[in-house]
Amino acid sequence: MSDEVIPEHQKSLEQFLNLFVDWFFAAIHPIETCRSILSITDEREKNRATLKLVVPAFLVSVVLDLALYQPYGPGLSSKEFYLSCFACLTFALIACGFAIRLSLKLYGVKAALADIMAIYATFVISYLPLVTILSYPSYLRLFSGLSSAKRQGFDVGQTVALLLNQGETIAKSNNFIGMSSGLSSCFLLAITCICSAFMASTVAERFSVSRVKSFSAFAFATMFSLPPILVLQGFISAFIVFRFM
Amino acid sequence: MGSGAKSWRDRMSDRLTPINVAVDSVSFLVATVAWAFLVWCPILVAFALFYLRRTLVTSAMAVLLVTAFCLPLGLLLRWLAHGMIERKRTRLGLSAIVLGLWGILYGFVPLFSQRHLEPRLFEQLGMGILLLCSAAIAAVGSIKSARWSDE
Repeated sequence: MSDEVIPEHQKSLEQFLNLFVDWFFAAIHPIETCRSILSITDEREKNRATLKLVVPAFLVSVVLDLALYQPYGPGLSSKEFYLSCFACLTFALIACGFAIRLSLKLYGVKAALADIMAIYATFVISYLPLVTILSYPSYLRLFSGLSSAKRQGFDVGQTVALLLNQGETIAKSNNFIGMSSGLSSCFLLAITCICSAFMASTVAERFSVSRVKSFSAFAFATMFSLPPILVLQGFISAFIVFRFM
Repeated sequence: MGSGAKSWRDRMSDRLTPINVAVDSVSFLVATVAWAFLVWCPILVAFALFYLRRTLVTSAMAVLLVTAFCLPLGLLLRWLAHGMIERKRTRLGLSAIVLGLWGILYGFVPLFSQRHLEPRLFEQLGMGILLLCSAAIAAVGSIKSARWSDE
């Protein structure tokens, strides 16, 4: 019986590892990947192909996030802490996707949900680990401030004041965190623009809508929803770390 | 399907070339900045004044002044962004000039100013380089726009 079980396990492991290889190649060739997913006629198959892209990128991002949170968090013992981090990332992804969907609807772009999910997964979620790494300096800045506030026994108001002062001081100083957070924010801006341009172009071609309309919808979604979502995600992350610190 | 009509897959391949994506990214940057000027600037000023507990009249005047400054600028940037998306040569050229000037003024002039030597050095420098790269892409787009319009 064990002889039958072992190949079954091996097969599952192989399939799981293949997901990461597929994701890696999808991240290198996003246009071909998006085109092949959008060409699938069966909606269920399309969603399955999208999910195959989302799962590895999401898992890698969670691992990268945990590596960041771990020194400031309670260590590997608290499951609640890691569950909260996982929920925080999920919230940000779903909120951004929902904002794009809503914005396209507002601009009158009739796009199927499965197609939007495929486009969003190929051009945004595939690059989530890269975005997570580029967000490291900003989060390090935030968490070191929180750690300092916790040590000094500050309340919420004092913590916010400390974070604002510290953020300003670090931004003005030429140390590693100050430098890297400045540069990484520029890279993040560039990546956001490139990914959004890919998505807007694909939506325009796939659904035969005017490019101005498609780009306006994505610009609207980025400008109206991204800042509140990022602020909320930062606030939730800060709260989680502060709570479990 | 007629022989001249391309499927969405072929159109996608034609559109998503590196130079096209670069110009699209720059136009997206300009469009988002335009939205920031049109919406977020007045809101942030109003919020800051509320936080500083200024009187209602002062706050309203300040918000109106900021809106009067930001609204035309936002509309101009939006017009430029739309022109870039449609590959209009003049607007691509104008965008290159605006982005180049902005990059120099924001990223490099503070470096040589005695007063602003220290603050946010790397952020400003990075942003300046990013804006100059965007200006260069817009300029290349402007040069190539004639060819694009023929295709």
